[in-house]
Formats: sequence, C-alpha cells, structure tokens
Amino acid sequence: MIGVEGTAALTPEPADSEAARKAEAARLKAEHDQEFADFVEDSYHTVERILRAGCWDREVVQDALNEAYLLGRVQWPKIRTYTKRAGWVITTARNKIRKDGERRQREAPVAPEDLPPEPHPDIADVWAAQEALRAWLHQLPSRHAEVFQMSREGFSNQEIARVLGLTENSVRSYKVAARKRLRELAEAAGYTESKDRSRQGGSRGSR
Amino acid sequence: MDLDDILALAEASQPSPLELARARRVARAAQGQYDHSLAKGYEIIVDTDLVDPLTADVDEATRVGRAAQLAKLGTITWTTGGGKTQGSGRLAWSDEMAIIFGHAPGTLRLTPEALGQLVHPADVEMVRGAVKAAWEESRPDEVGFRVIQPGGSIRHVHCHLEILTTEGEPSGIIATGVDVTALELARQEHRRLAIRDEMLCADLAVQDTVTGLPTRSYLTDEVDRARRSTGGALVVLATEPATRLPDALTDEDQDQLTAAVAQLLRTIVGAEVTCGLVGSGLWGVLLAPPDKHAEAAETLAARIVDTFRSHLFSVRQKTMRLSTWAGLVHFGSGVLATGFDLLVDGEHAARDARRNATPITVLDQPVADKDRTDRCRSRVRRAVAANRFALYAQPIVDLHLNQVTRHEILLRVRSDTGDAVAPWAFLDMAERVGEILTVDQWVIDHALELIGRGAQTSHYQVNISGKSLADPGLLTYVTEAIHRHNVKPECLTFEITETALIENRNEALAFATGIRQIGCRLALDDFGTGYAALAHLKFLPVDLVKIDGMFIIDLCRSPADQAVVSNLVELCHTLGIRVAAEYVQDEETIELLKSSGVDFAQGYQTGRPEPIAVSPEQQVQTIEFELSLLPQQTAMG
Repeated sequence: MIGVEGTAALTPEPADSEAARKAEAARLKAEHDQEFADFVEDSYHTVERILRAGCWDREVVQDALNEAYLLGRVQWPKIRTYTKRAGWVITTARNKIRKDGERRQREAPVAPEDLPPEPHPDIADVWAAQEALRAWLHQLPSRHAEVFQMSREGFSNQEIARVLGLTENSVRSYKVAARKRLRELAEAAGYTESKDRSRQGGSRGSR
Repeated sequence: MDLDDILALAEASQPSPLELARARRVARAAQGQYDHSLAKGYEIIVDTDLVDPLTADVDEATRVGRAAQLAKLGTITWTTGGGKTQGSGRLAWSDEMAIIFGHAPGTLRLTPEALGQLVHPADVEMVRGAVKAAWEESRPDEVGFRVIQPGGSIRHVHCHLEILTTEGEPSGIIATGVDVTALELARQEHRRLAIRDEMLCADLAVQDTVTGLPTRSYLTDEVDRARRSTGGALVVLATEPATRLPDALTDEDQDQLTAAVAQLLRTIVGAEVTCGLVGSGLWGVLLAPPDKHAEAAETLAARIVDTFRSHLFSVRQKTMRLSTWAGLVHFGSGVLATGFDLLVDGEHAARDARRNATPITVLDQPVADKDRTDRCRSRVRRAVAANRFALYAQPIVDLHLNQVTRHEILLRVRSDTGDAVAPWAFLDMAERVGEILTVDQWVIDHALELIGRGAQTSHYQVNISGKSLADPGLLTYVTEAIHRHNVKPECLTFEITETALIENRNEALAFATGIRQIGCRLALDDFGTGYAALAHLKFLPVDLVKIDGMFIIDLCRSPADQAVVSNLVELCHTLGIRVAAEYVQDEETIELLKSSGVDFAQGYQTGRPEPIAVSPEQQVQTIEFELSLLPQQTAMG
C-alpha cells in the first residue's frame, strides 16, 4: 500500500482511481472481516450443538466446522447476503462430516453400534444437563437428533427442512419421534417427575 | 425432574467466556488462512453449493434431490403427477442412485416393475410394504434392503423414505439412499464376533469332572511336552484302601474318595504343579528339572507318600486309610520315550514299590522300549487269562418311551485288591501296545455268555475298540460267539469306541457290514471328539451315534453344547441314524435332550452301572423320574 503512494506522483490520474479502488477494497475487506468475526462468534455454539447432536465425535465436528467457516470466509461476500447464514454453515459442515465418515469407513469399517458408553448422569448443573442430553440424542437416529436440536435452537420447520435437505413432512415426524424417544430415555434414567409437581408435593408436605 | 426441566436447564446458560474465546479462535484461524491465501495468491476451492438454502424457490422433490446430490446420496422419486390415484405416477432415479444399483446413469427407464426386478427377491415384499405404509400413513420411514446389480453382485442399500408435499397435499415419495455394504458387513461381523464370544467354551476335556484336576490325556501331553523341552521328573502314586470295608465301595463312594485324594494332593504339591488322575487309584505329578531352591523330586515323593499314608479319609461316615506307593522317573530333555511311555514307567515303578514293600522306586531314566512293551503286553494277557475283569450293565432310557429298553455292557478291571475299577487307563495301555483285541474278545465272549443265559428282554450294547476292527478274524469270532451262546443277534449293538484308531478302513467296513448282515446293529461311541470324522457317518453303516459326554455334562448352561447337540441330532436323523447321549446327570438335561429329539439317554440320572446278575430278574422297566412325570402327562392329556 505504501508502494502505491510512491507511484502516485508520476501518474496522478489513474493512480488516484486505482488507489481509491484499493482503499475501497481494503475498507470493504475490513468490514467483511469484522462482520465475519462477529458471525462466527455469534453462530459457532449453535452450529456446534446441532452438529454434535448428530455426530458423537467432537473432533470430527470441530474439524468440519473449521473447514466450513474457512469456506464461509472465502465466499463471505456472497454468503453474507443469505437469510440464514448459519444454515449454510450447517449444510456445508454436515457434508464434510459425511465425506469424512465415508473415508474412515473405507479405511476401517466400524459398526455404528460402537458408540461410547452412555453415562448415567446425575443432573445437577447446566453442564451435566447438556452432557446427558447429548448422550440421549446419540441414541436417536441422527436425522431425528439434528432436527430436534435445530428446533430447540429456534429454527422453523421450513428452515430445518431446507438446511438439512428434508421434506417438511419428515421434519414434523422426526420432531415428534425424537421428543417421544428422548422422554423415554429420560424416564428410563429415572427422570420422570416434573419439577413443578415435585415442588407442589414438597409444599404440601411442609404444611 | 423430567425431560422439559433438563432441556430448560441445558439451554439456560449463555456461552461462557471460554467458549466465546474458542469461537473467536475459529474465526481467527479461518481469517488467517484466507488472508494467507490472498497474500500468496492461491485460491481456496469451494466445492460446495453456493445457494442460500432458504431462498431457493423450487418444489420439494427438486430441493431434497439436490441436497442429496451434494451429499453424494442417491434418490428415487415417485410423484403422483397431480392426480391422487396411485400407479399413474412418475418414477425416476438420480444418477447417483442408478450407480448404486449398478446401472450407468440414463440407461434404464425406471418403472415400478423394473425396480421390483432390481431389488433382491427376498426383500421386495418388505420394501413394498414399507413404502406403502409410509405413503398411506403419510410419515417418513427408513428401509434397508439388498439390490442385485446387473453382474449379479449383491449390495446392501439403506434408504430414507420421505413424503413430498405440494400445496399442502401429499404428492409423492422420495427415497434417499446410500450403499451401506461395508457398514452392513462390519455390523454382521460385529454380531458374529459377539456370538462367537458367547459360544466359545473353555476346554472342558482338560479337567476331570470328579477331581477338578487335569485328565490323563492332558497330563500325558504335558509330560510329553516336558520331555521334548526341559526334561524333569514324573511321580506316579498308586493308592488303594488299606483296610477292606465290610461292603464294597459303590461308584459314588469311589468318586467321593477320589475327590478327597485329589484335594489332598493339590494341597501338598501346591497350585503350580501339574498333577492329575491317570488311572483308578493312580496319580501323576509332573515336576520341573531340579534347581537349587526347589525340593528334590525324591523328597517330594516321599512327603506325598507319608502324608497319604497318615491321612484319614472319610467315606460314608467311616474313616479309612490308603496304602500308597510312589514310582519316580527322571527324564532328561529330548528322551525318546513319549509322555505315555513315561507314565507307564512311573506306574510300573509304583507297582514295583508295592511288590517290594518300599515307599518309593526311583528310575534314573526311562525303561527300554522293548521291556516296557513286553511288560504291558504280559500284564494285559495275564489279566485276560486270570479273568481279572468284571462286567457291569448300565441302563439306557428310550426318551420317546420313557423306559429302559437297553443296557450298555461295561468292563471293569479288578485291581490288586480285587475291587472292580474303571478300566480307562488299562484300556488306554492295551490299545497303545496293541493288545486291545484280546480284551475285546474276552468282553464279547463273556458278555454274550451272560446275555445268552438271561431272558434277552433288553437290547445290549457291547464296546469294541476301533483298533480291533483291523483284525480280519473278528467278525468270525463274534458270529461264532453269538451262535455258541444262543444270543438273538437283533438284541445286540456293537459300539465302536476310539474311532480315531480305526487303522484299516476296508476291514472296518467289512466288519460293520458283516455284523449288520447277521442282524446286529452298529453304533459309534464318543461321537464328536477325537478324530471321529463325519465321514464315518457316510461310509460306515451306523445305526446309532452316541454323543460324547463333554457335550452333555454342561448342556443346560452352554448354548454352544445345545447348538451342537440339536444340530447333530438333525444331521443324524436326516441320515437315518438314531442318537444317544451319555453322562446325563440331571432331570433338566433330560428335558433338554427330549426337546432336541435325542432318542436315548444314559447316565447317573437314569441309572448307574450295576454288576450283571447271572440271571437278571425281569425288572419293572420304569424308573423313578418317569413316574414323577406321569401325573403331569395325564393332566395334559
């Protein structure tokens, strides 16, 4: 950039417009850089939670996300205009995960039954609740888990269908099925009674 | 707490500063890589779809198909084509799906009939049912099936079925599929390994059921291993009751005594030393070559003899002592004498000790082969000449009739004290030195004599060693004995034991054929162990197969044994052969045997071997456990 100023004295006219164009480009890039940084900070956790609902291997998810965000930055001028930019990241990262899984499958086929053991959670804090939930989600078909997690993150049925490439009919069914199965799993782990009810019971007892 | 509370709790928190930092790190890394590519002037290739998934305005079929294509998945789409009537719709597949089915894209026009041809015939109905149900109930489903590719190879495919909607109405089905053959094979292998793990059993043949110590064959193998590697010493202990009890010991008493001796022996030598029962009243202890710290073999042998002699064993609430002698054989590494030879030398040394009234006889090296063989042979011949045997009969129950319809004639050898003891060690020796024919002939002659004198109401099973079948004169001998003792040939079954030792297939076949021509039946004993090949069932005219006891003892607890027994029964019945089980020890096993279709059972549960009375009375041929079943059966009837 400093070099540009040096030549400006000799050919002022084109250099001026050139410099102006470059300055404008730099300004735009800086703006995009900032916008992108904000977008990542804003979306990363939602996207990661959704992907981890469908894939139990955290490292695979993180690798896929690193790649998806890089592609996102490369194509940011286009993607920044999308209605639901996180949706594009999810779609892209999911395809990465799938490709990665296929490659590893070719190298050493592993039956999906080889999941890490399910923890028997004693849910006392936010972290434990998240872990328990994730463990249960991994017992679901991955489509069900992803749909459920996306709906929890505030995506509409139509958005979910489009991001995951499903029909809306399926999204509705998967949501219901996922919720039903999760409730069964929670009950099997001993979480049957709603807090409200137990509070009522407790207040009755104290009287 | 319930699911909703857990969900609320899990979503309660905002990302922590640490998590936000992680997100920023991802952003910085992406930014850094991007800037680097700009500075260096290379391009990062974006191989993904650059269409905002939320704005594309196409119908569902196109949208889902496109997403599948990006994910490298195949699709089959069926659309009603406007009208709601089924069958008039349009069927199409994506290029990717055509490839999954083994067809080049665009070469096959897909019709429902064509699709039905491509799916494995065994899976067609299931797939149709799934698709129909999904459509009728308007819900997604998934289905796994096999496809047959044009070359005939079979692939496993997994499909998600989804209902397409146009303007609020179900308008078709899209199936998104992927070739899961590798995954399916991995899954099958996983299942197979799980089954294998469950079915794999410990080698029961290694442990004797009464003593819990290694068996004779295991010890023989271990001695053989020692002589091929390190060398060592073998102690053989001979025990016999020092005092005669008023009445002879029953089988149960013998077992009880044997178990007590085994326990004592184990206590003396410790858990590390290989020791086991090598014959009736004969115990083998294998010792490693001497080193400075270990007790010398002589000292240990003397200590065992002393302890045995001074120990009071209790049998049937009475105490008794055992007279004990020991034979000790030292052998260097690489001696020519086999494990069996060394065992026999030890036994002979122990006998010498008994004869000379010394506690121990020590051999510094194995005996010369010829001397050993001669001594074994003469022992067998003397035993035969002196009739030092007894015949016992064990009842066999016909499981279809719940009745004792047969007896197996069993040989017992009289020990030096005159007790009839189990003959397996003696028979092993006779077989190995080639004298088994003499013993078999004695058994045939005396058994037929006893049978001929009796009422011949039962069916009798007599054992013949596979080794004896090599003798061309055996058939004549048997035929002659049958006539001499007036035995009805149809009452006789000859059981071939040790089929592994069948040396001459032609002679064996000639005997087997001949014996059936005169009206007797043929059985194979101990089937399923040793080298009892299935080929025997094919070429020997066998009428009965007796499953080896090692498959029966643990039958109720072992799914592997159950699988072997039930399938062996099926095989034998298909070949027109009946099946018997030996070592039947409880009622539960009998029930299992019945349900597997086994024809005969024999064992302590149905009756122990008893000495043959010269003129057996006509017995009531129903045994106790069957009586207890009768009320149930009538109640059911």
